Amino acid sequence: MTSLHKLTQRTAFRLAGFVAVVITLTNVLIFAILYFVISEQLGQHLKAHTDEVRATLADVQADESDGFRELSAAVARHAFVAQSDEDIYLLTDADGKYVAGNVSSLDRFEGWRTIPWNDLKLIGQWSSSRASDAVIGTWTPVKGGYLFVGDGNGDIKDAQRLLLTGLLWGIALSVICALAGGYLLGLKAQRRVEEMEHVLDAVASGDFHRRIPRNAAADDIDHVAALINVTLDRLQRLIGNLKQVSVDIAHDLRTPISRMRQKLETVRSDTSNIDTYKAAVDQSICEIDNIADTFDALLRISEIEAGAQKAKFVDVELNGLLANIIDALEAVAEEHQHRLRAPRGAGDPVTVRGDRRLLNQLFVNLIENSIVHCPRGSEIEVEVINDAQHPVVRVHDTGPGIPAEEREKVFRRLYRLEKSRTTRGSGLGLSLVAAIAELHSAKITLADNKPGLVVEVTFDQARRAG
Amino acid sequence: MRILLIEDDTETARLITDSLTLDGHQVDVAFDGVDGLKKAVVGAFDVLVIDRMLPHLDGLSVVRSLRQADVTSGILVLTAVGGIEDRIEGLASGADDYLVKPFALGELLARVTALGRRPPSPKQDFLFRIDDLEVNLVKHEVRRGGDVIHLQPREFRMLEILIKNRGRVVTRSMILDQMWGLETDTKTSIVQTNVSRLRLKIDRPGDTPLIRTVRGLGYIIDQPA
Repeated sequence: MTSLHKLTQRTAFRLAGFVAVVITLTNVLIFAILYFVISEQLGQHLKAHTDEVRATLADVQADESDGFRELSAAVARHAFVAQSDEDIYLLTDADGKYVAGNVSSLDRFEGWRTIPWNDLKLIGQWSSSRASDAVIGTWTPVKGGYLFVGDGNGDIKDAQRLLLTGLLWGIALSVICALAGGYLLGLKAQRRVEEMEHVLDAVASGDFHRRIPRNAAADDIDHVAALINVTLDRLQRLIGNLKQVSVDIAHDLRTPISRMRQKLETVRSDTSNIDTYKAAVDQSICEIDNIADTFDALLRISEIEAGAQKAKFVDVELNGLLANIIDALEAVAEEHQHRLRAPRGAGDPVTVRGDRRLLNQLFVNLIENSIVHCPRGSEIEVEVINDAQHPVVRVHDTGPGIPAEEREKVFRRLYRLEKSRTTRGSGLGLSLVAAIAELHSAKITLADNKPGLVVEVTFDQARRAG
Repeated sequence: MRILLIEDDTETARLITDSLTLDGHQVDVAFDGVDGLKKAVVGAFDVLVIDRMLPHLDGLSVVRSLRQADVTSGILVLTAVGGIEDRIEGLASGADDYLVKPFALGELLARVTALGRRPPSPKQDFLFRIDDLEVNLVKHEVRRGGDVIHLQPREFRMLEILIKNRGRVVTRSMILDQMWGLETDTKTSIVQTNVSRLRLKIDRPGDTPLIRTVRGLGYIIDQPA
């Protein structure tokens, strides 16, 4: 079992690690996109700003007659205040010689270019701490020379640094969260597994009533717990069944066996009369037959309760089945001066899924019960209600009935009503009936026939047992 | 009849052999499945009585092997496990009949005899005469000493079963099965009551009784002794 612990722990950690990696990768991807988009955006912004400055300066030249000198003065002004903005200006004459600006010289080029700060030949006082590490700028031809306007990439760098810091913090936090969360989930799962282990250990050591507590979260572990509980229910039923059979056997078979033994011992010590011997032997044979019958019935009940026959169910027509049983029992009923009446309107076939032998046994037992327990001259009627979903078979009699408080108990094994204890019978007939009904997903109810008893067997064809 | 008994419990084997021999049969015994299978294939037996649980080769495998080898003798399987599934499996393997231990020796004899029955000649197929009882199965006509006896369909079927097995015991469980297809145990005396009714009509006061009760076992119809 400890290996299971380790396994869950490993699984939890692996899960946490996996989640952390996924979160990191996601963060990096998001950052990369943001980085690209923001850099691009800020680059555009920077160029727009530069263009604006160029346009302003160009206007200065255009408005004045002495344009170039005005321009150089404007550039010099701009250059002077530009140091804090990290803007770079350079105005050269047509030969490329310095006229005004804050760098002494710069190679001319077409379009936009990014020039590393360190390559700039700066003029004037510059703060040693700079946000920018490069200048993005472009040359513009003006009347009498060339004008360079560039903007430091400090804003972009700042944004990028911010993003990077954010990313690092984000990754750090999410990895911590993933690991902690994964570990906690793992611990929770482990606790559930431990819970299951405790219950299963308890069950293994004989406490069959224990069940794994369910939790509200219908997760997979809870699903497994539910399945285990169902299995345990079934196991408990089967074990209970087995115990019941053992108890029944002990109770119902030991008694007649010991009775027989005493009888044989008694007759053994009395050697006077061969007829006494014969009588004792006959009684013993009869006793043995009863024991064998009881044994058979007990085994059959537990076999039926185990439910293996369901796989071999076939369509069984109830009217025909009952007509045959009534044909068999009619003479016996008449001997008891009962009137046994067959189902009326037996024309329509009423079909259920089932085992013919067992259904025979069920209805023979029910009708025989009425025949045996009713006083002479009773009415026994069998009725079939043809309902497509729930066919019903009713056996009515006008006998003494069963008191309401006893009705549930009669299906118990070996239970016999006090007054019928003297009559022959194993007390297993109705248990067998109940077991067979249960196997067929049929419901049995006992009710008052006023006077007498109605036994109602309701099949459930919607479920099509089997 | 020549009967082969395959049974590993020597005491049971001895009791069954004695009982069958006493009934006038020739009995050979094998104590395990392999030996039994060999004997069964070589010897021409009329009936095989095979225990379900045998050493080396279980009873049902023996039955299956024999049926595959086209051995057509009647086979009765004995078993200590009388479960529902078990019985179906037994018959599905090719056995003709199935008997759950403990059983009455008389029941075994009756069933073995029924299995070993040779097909009756065509003439006997529908016309039976025992003493002054005449039964015509085609015309559904029964006469006793020349008088027509009116039987209910149920009574006629019962008589048919008895008379087709005349001279042999038909057990109560055999009648339950053949009359109504019931293999259930019943707590009322279904067979006894129905046979009594038949007997009232067949064996009228003054007639020689033809239907005899075999105590604790069943019924037999035969020429009066």
